[in-house]
Amino acid sequence: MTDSINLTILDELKVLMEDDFSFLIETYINDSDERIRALEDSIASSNSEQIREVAHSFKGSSANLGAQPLADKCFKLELMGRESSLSGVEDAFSELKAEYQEVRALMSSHI
Amino acid sequence: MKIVIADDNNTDRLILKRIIHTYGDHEVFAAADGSEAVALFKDVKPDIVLLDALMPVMDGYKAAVEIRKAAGEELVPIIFLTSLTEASALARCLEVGDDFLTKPYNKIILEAKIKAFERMKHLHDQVRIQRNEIQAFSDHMIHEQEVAKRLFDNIAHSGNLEQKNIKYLLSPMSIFNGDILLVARTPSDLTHIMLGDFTGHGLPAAIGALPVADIFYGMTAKGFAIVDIISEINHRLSEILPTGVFCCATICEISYRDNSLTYWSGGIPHGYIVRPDQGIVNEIESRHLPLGVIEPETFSVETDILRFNEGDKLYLISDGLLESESPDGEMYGDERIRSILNEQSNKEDTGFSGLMQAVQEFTQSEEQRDDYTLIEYELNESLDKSESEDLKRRNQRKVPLAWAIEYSFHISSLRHFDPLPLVLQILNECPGLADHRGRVFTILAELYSNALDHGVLNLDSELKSTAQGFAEFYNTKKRLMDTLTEGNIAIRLSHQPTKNGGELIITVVDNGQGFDVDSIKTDKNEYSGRGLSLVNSLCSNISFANSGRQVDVLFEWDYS
Repeated sequence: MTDSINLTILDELKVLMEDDFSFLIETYINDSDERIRALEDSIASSNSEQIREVAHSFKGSSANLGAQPLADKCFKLELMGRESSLSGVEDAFSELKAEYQEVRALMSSHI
Repeated sequence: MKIVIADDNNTDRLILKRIIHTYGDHEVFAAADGSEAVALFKDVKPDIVLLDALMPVMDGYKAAVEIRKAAGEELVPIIFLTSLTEASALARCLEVGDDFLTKPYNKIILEAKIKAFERMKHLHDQVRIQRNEIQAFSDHMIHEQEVAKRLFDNIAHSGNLEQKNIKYLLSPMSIFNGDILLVARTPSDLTHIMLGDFTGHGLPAAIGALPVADIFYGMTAKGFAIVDIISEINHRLSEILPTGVFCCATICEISYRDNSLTYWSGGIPHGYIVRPDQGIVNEIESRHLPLGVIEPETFSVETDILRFNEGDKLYLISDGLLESESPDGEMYGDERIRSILNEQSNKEDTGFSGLMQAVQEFTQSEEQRDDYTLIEYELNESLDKSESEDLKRRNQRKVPLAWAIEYSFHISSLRHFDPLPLVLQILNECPGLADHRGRVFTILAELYSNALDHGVLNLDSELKSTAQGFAEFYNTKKRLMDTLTEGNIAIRLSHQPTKNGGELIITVVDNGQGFDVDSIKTDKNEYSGRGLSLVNSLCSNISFANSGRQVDVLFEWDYS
């Protein structure tokens, strides 16, 4: 499932970051795990503002690492949060979580 | 360059830091939120700041405002980093920042932007440094000009410009536009007036003004005639002024006793003599090159003399008056000045103010423009006399009146050195007597050459009566001067004041063989030969002592 990550971007990052590449990936995974938990919490408490903020950050770092489909799913949540229209937010989050698991597995194998 | 970046997103921050560091070779300092960025900015004083727009604690917009405040005059470009795409969000970035970059980062655009801002900052810093340098230069120059003006005022203030028969306008900026106006009086009551206009402006003009004022006042006080003063000023100016800088000037000597005005004028507009009810009766014409142009060796002073009666007025102007412009750019010119002076001549007290008023109307300026110099001098004997008595009283306290001085010269110094100028120097310190120094010089020169030729060198004056003997006389003199080892001449001057002047006794003594004094005595108890008939005509008494080795001459003089 290489569609989840643009490997060209990831390879460029590898060249750029040199020895720090694994640290970058670890940081991304740690941050993202944290964000998944934060999204779960804010959806449970219907906190639109927090959903928007977390999804926005998640989107940014995912795009930077070449995980564009995941970034798109983050953007969907960000929009819901911004417009405070949370109907269907659980489904969107499940999709996001599934996509993230893909990305996480691929990333881990790339270290 | 030092660059501060702020992004709360850990991975974004890592990547950004690495991109900037690797591709631009910059020193990067990373912050995780806005307030950290502000603190970091104050700490490291970076050249450029990159701020994520949305951050916790303090967002990028707020941080940008704080950073601007802390930067003050320093230009610190702020570039926003944002994944926001709405126009309003981007517009806000440009409001508080200088530019924005959208995420995800594009390495090439990022580096290009950093480079562009680096150039801009460099340019800004250079402009700022140059502006500060120019400001410093300007401050320094103004300070120097103030010092120069104080200096000049100190030297020039001793003049007689405030006499009641003088009206003048001297630009307050005169020292910087190169105009000088000097008035002083000699011990023998002649009034000297000088109006000068240096080419050029600013310090070069001011530098020339200082020695001119110094020479003018110094020499006038010692009783020198304007011919000598003009020569001396020309000499000094041609020494000190750079090429292309010189002094256009009119210098006048006014005598109320002779009703005369003697003048020298070079390179300056016409002056005028206006007589009551007759208008302009004479013009002071410039017939010479300005002062400081001709080398002293070839400079000769020819003055002209004009009648100057009681009630006559002298007007001298600098070219600033001729060049005063109307709003249409027309210059005031010579013709208008003439017609005003002619028109006003039959009215009392109006020539000066009439001219000033007319110029002001012509230029239609609200205020007197003050960029020209103008003097009106009216011959008024009673005023002149009272002023001169004041001056005499002042001078009498200052000058030596009873004094004696003796110089003794051995042949070894006379071989290389003419002692007369040294002796004459003392006369310049004695006002009144200085007026007679031409005559005193002639007497001294005759007595000295007698003492040297016939006394010390023992040459026969009869020799000079034939052409052959004349040459022999000088050849022998030269040979003796070079070889003689013994010989001495003493010159003594002794002065006593009298009611209207003084008595000067000139004594010259040599150590030669002496001569038969009676052999040159005439029937009228005077002397002939040895140049003594000339001396006779210049002095009151001649007497010899010590077998002709000593001669005493009495010279009596009055304040003329």
